[in-house]
Amino acid sequence: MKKIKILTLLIILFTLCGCYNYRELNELSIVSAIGIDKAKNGNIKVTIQVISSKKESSDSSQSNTNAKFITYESTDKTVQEAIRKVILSSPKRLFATQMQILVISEECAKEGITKYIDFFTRDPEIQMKFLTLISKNTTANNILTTLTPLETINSTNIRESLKTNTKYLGIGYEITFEDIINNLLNDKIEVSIPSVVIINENKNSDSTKNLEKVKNIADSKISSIAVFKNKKLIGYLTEQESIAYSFILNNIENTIITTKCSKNGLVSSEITTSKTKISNNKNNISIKVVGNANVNESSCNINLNSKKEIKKLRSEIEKNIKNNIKKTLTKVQKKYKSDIFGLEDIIYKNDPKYYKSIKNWDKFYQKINFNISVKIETLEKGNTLYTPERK
Amino acid sequence: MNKIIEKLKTDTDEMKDIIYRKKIISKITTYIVFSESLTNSDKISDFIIRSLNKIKKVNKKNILEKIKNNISNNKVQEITTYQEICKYLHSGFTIIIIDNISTYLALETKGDLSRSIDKPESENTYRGAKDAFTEIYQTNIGLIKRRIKSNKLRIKNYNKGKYTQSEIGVLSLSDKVHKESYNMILKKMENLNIEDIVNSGEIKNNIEKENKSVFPTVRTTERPDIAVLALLSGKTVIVIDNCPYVLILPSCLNDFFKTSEDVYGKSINVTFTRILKLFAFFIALLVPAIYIAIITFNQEMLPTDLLINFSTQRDGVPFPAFFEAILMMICFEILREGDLRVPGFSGSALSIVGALILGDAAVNAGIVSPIMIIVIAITAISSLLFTEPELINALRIWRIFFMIGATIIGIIGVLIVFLILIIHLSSLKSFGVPYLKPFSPINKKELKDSIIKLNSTNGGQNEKN
Repeated sequence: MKKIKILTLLIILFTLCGCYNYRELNELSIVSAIGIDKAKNGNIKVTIQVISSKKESSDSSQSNTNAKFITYESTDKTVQEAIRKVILSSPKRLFATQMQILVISEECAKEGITKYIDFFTRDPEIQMKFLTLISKNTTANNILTTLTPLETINSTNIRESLKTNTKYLGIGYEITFEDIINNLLNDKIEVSIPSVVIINENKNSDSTKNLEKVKNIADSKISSIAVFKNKKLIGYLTEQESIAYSFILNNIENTIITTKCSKNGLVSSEITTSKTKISNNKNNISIKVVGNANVNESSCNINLNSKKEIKKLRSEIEKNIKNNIKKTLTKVQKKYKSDIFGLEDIIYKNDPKYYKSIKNWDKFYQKINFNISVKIETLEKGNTLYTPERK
Repeated sequence: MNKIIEKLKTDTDEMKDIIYRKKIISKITTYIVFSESLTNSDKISDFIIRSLNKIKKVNKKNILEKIKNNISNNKVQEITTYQEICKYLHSGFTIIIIDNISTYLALETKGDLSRSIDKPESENTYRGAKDAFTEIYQTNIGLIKRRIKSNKLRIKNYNKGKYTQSEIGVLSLSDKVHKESYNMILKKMENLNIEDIVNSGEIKNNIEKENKSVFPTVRTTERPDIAVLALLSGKTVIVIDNCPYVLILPSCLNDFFKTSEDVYGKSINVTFTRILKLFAFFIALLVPAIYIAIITFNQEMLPTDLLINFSTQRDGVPFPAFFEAILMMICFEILREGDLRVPGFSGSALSIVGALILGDAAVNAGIVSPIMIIVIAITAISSLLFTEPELINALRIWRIFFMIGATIIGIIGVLIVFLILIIHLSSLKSFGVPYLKPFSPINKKELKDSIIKLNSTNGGQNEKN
């Protein structure tokens, strides 16, 4: 009898509470990306990219040209108000946990990003693992409405190309929203965010006409890194500088370095591994890069059998990377005066006593001396030892 | 007319099946009584009547001795009571009744009513022995005794049932058997309270009465080699007349993962198969529940691309996921039940219709999503990896509990039901042996032949209870 009582209570406990958070999959529209732009009169324009889960028609020839996503746009005073307006026009509940990217327009970033991203830090449904990008020379709306040829959903396209970029080039780097928030909350690091551009932008880029072409297709492309100071965008690095920046942050997995080997000849080598260590001694910061490389292409007659040539080539590569890093450091230090490398944080962690004696970081930052050393430990020769030019 | 004969005739309402043959030997009237359907007529005419014909010059005093000496039959029993006459008559014996002598002779003349030893049908193996138990008690005992040539094999006999008078044998190896559970079983057998027994299932239900769980604590098998392996590992085997399935007890959850191949296979391969079975066990229990939980509550757990896929497939399906799953499960269970019962020649029609309904048409009609078909199919196939039907049924019931948990509070519900299941299984006992034995309470020696099998062990024979 007692058992039955307990059982009834349990059944009531579970059934009367209702189905908390119950939502059928076909009542949700999956948000894949959100774009934020500035609108007139200080309003915010929000672009929400939603994946269309409508069943493709059985006619397979038709399904190829169908856009698999749609975008909602709305403008209001705050991000939340704008999103609420979208909810009114969407037949399904917006479901943002699967969001892949957040695109913030250049304009907003120049004004300061905190105001625009605050909403995303508060909503419990949003996982902060999505990637964040700055739309360079264009609006976030344009980025999210461009149909891309190889991926049907363009936010996937941007996410994947940022991933491959990080892996094989090092121009951009995968920075999640969570990292950005951490950097924003840490006053010893300035924020830096990779940017995205549209190439071959035209007025048809948001229709399937764009996909019917074979050349000059409008497409999104990962571009160099945007530098922030005091949470405001102040400029971009060049692509070479972005690679150097990745070297400093130890984000390089693979990249290409091209060096001169004779008057007109060039050698392209691939950096296969790289590790960076930063340490400081008072205001001298030493950056040590250790890596391996592989010769990929050569247009002059070098003999890879000779130790001397190899040594020469190696030192060329080392010099190239070193110069690049130095140039970037100087540019950021002198021109942007922004500490995107988190040097303040490094000094604070390495030498807290010394850090306390620093009164004004901005002045101190200008006085920092850099000590850069690059070492290529092994240089692999590729499949052939000789160039076809050899006589 | 003999009094006994008269009584028999009135008791059986002059049943035509019972033949009374009158024979006069040296002026002494004798009757040969037998049941036509149970006996072999060749045996009666060849051995009994012919031998009786040869008997001459007897008187009342020595006729019984003479018949006993001259009859060419291997089993001659002297009986005295009417009850015994009935018992032997209904077991296929021929009774010789001599006028005015109160001792009767029962002669074995059983007809062959059994089929021969066949291949096992419900438990296939690709390397094991190919014989299976039959309906005849003596044959079944023989199949076991042929494998164990030892005096240590003990058979305790019972005769139960008012009408069926079924022979029941409780087999054990006296030096290996787990004493505690053996005594428990004997006690239960003595207190067995059943009217009649047709199948081993009735005994099974009766002796595991206090087991309220859906999980089986008794294993059934039709393979003598499995029964012998069980005996060798200290278990008790119950053989029942007229049933080709014998009972192995006590049986723990881990025993249902073992097959007779485990003895022949290389230990690494056996381990692999058992891990596969463990996977199948959890797939059969959990997959529909986890699917429901993920697509109705915890969508954030899926990678985006997979979620888009699921979402596209769910588009246009009018039912909630739980109902969709239940619908497909019922369809499958109906098909399975149908497949078991229909005669072979209409089986192909059933499978074609089943495949079409469950597979293509339901999806095209927009009643279920293709993913759900995959989920139910893999679940159904996984549960069929186990040969014990009671275990399959237990999995089926718990699967529904899991699905209800998932429908109410998502993945947390699955977790809660899982905890309840673990608690339930740990509290179960099979005749004094904990149900999750090698794992809880942990036993290092037996763990060597549980989910993993190490080289040194041999099919559970080294197991000490």
